[in-house]
Amino acid sequence: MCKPIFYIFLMSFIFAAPLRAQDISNAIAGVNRAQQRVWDVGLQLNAAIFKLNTLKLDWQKNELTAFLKEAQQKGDMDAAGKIQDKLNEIDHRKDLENQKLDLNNQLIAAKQQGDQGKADDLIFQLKNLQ
Amino acid sequence: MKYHFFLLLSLIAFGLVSCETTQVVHHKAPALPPEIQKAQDDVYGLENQMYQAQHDLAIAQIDEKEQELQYQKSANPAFSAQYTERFSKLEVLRANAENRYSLAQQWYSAVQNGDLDSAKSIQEQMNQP
Repeated sequence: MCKPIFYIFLMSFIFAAPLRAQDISNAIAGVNRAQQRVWDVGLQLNAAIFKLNTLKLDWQKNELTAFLKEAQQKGDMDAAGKIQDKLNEIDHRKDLENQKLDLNNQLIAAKQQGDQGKADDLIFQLKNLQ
Repeated sequence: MKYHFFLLLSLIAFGLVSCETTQVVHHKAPALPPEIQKAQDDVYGLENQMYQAQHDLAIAQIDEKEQELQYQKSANPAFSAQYTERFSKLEVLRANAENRYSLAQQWYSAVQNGDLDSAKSIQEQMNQP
């Protein structure tokens, strides 16, 4: 009487083990897909932020350029000098944002090509620019 | 992989900080030009997608750990009490992830309604450990 029950138990265990292994394997694949999605969205988000920063800097530059002309017309060379300093700073920040955007685009390409070595190097360069 | 993941998050965090700094500079100015508003909306949309992706990753990691525990529990039925405790911890993590995602949805809703003060306050809650 006990033997069939024992065999049923044994068989269920034997068949359940590979199924559980399959479940774990599916779960790991799910984690990898989710990680990849975080990467993809993260890189797109980076690009959008760099683009937004550049647009804001362009806007600031336009406004300051108008103020600069006004100061020069009034002969207020002190104010004009200060505005020019700010404009130079904006140009420097714009240059940085463009470099970051370029590195981020290269990083997207490296990730798509599966070139992890290049991706690591680009991440390092990006981090140094922050 | 984990190292790169955190590096990516820190890069985004830096990007957002610089983004916010420029926003503060312009806060006193009148309405933003449409192309800047559009770019800002794109950033908000992608931030929302990022919260969704982070949530999905957290849940996938919890699911994976649960599967592993289930597998170990089957192999060691004598320690089932110990596994019950571990499962409970995972459920706490799952609840935290759901709570964070719920806040993220509130944040996005506030942003879409132009309520930036509420959005900032919600993000501060999300950043609390």
